[in-house]
Amino acid sequence: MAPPASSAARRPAVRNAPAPRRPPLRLFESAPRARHRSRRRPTMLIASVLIVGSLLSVVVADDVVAQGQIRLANTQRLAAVALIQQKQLQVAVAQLSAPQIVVIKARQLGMVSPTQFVDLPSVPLNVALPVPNTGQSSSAKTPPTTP
Amino acid sequence: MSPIVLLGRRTRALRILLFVVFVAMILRLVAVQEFSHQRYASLSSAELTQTVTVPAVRGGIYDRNGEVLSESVTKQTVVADPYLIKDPGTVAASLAPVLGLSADKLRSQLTEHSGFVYLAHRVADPVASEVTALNLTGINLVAESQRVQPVGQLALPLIGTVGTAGSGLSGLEYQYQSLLAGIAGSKILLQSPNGVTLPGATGAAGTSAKAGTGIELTIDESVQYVAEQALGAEVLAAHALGGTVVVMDVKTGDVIAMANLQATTSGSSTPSTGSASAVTASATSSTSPQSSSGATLIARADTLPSGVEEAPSNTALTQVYEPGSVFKLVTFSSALQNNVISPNQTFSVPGSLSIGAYTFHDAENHGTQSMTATDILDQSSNIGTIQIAGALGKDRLLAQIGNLGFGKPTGLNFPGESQGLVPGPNAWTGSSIGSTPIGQNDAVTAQQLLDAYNAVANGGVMVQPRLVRGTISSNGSMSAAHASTTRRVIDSTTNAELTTMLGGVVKSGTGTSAAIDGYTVAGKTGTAQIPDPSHLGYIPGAFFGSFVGFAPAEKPVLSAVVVLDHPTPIYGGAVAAPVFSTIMEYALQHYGIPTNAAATTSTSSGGIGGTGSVTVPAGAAKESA
Repeated sequence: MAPPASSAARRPAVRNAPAPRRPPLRLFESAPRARHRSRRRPTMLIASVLIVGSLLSVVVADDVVAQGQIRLANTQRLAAVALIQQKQLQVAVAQLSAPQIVVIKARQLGMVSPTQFVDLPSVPLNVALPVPNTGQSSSAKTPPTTP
Repeated sequence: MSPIVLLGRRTRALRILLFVVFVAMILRLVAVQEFSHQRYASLSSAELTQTVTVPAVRGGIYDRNGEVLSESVTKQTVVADPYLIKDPGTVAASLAPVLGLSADKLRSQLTEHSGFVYLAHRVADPVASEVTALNLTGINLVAESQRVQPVGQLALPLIGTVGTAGSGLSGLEYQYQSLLAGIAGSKILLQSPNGVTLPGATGAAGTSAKAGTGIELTIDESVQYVAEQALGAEVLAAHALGGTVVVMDVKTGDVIAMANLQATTSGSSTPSTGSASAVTASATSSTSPQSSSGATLIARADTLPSGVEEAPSNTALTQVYEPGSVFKLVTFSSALQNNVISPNQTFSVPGSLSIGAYTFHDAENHGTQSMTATDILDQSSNIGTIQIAGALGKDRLLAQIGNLGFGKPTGLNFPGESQGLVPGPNAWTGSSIGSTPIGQNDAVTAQQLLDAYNAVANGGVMVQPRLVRGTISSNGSMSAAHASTTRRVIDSTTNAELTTMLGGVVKSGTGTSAAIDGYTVAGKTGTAQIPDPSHLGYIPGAFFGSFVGFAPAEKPVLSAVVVLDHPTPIYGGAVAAPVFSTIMEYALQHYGIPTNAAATTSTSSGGIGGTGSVTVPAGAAKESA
């Protein structure tokens, strides 16, 4: 079945007729390209600086933390060694101050057990202490007088 | 079908296939990451990591002045990984002189088919440094804990021993195991599949070990030493099999010394070096001497006279014996308290007395004589005591036995502690009223006996003994233990009468050897036969000689018991009383307890003798040994 003549005649006319060009739909005038670039440049720069700075900060912080960890590990190791040494020295002191060692050392130094134990009498604090007897006469202590 | 259509269908099918595969992958990913991640993580860590147990440092044991009695120190143990050693001969030759081992033995150890071989346990620090300096591949040092007793074997039966695994085997080391041991930690090491630890990957994670809690004892190292010396000398002099001494603070119940010795049998004597230099020598030797129990004893300088050694157990608490005359305290305290007798009441005491199938005698034969109750106690008359017990009666006697703590635990909870054997009402026989009052039908520990006499010293108030003053945490802070519980067992009037009567025993009775110049002493002697375990009756010629008392009698500060096993002579007054005197004299002077004369002088000025509440100080008497 052939198409109607009227539509066949109309279609080429539509194709051949140049379509009316519509003006671009713009509500605002676009900024000149040069201005747009100059405005974006500092933003990019700041963003880059921030990113690089942040990365560097992370690296520095990580380094600081790592150094702290190393220092902490070293300190802990030193503390553990010191604790071991302290225990060993404590034992060494206990060995040297053991009663049997003290007794042996005292005997080597010629010490003997006391044969008698005497309690000194209790003296009230408000009593004046006696003057020590130096064995010299009182006249000897008198300063010489000038003639 | 056109090729274009066919291509479109294939493409669609491929897309569907890819979608399905992608969905499957996502599902699998979710399954692995969400639902099975722990399993895979553990599988991964099992291949990469190795969890190593980090043992906790065992808490120390200290005396009342903070002196170390037992402590754990870290020592280095030399180990080898034979798989990493290429030239065992050279390594063995280098190590042999340093470790003091033969090169052949080392070579055979270094060629074993094992990745871990012990070469020398707990070497001295200089040796460990030399091994490190050799820088031998496959030779390593690992830290091991070592239990040391700086004071040698002093009070060893009380302190106890620790095994190679670091657990307490006996004594206080066993009793306070959970406290001393601490809590072990763990360390996770990263390692290669063949088991080699990756360098720099140690301690990836894990839990830290919690050090054990130390305990501070009531024991005074110096008094303990003097007690062991005096007891050891008497064990030798009396040819006894052994002996026990316990010294106690009257007011607090603190056990100041607890000595347990035995005579050495031939060949079993502990080697003693006999000089102070021995301590240094043994401490710096390549390998420390090790006891059979695994605990190393660094200081082996003479703690004891040659011929005696520490007993294998704390007999003061674990061994029971028939107390003999020292048990008459029970009879007299009950009789006085129940007004059955008075100190000056006169009795007609015959030379012997038959009760049931048995005939009882006094130590010395005599005819019927008139004796006061005080005389009966002074002279330790068995017959007089039995007469008093007869007037007292079974029920009141048994009640007083329990009241004074016999047949009951002391409260120390020491491992293997005995609560003694006392006859109950059902075990009472016809002769029990003759044997029980004089300490023959019952068995007690030395500590129980001392507790009873300490109650008299403490004005009739019994104090539960204690061995631990407090605990010391790993950061050094001390938590004081609870004060001992007390209960009145004898009324004040009776107690004063009893103290006077016990003072007479030392002043003019059987215990004159316990007297101390400048101090008044109260106490009682005991000479008890030893039952024959295989036959009814007693072992001929076998006795326990004992003395238990306190000083100064007017204001008691210290009480003590001395027991000698199989002594010659047999009498407690001859063998145990002098030991009591020696130990008590030292202890009284050590703690600055004034003599009678000084106490009288200082009473007006409110000195130590006039306060009436003197206790043994801690941490103030360290200057003398």
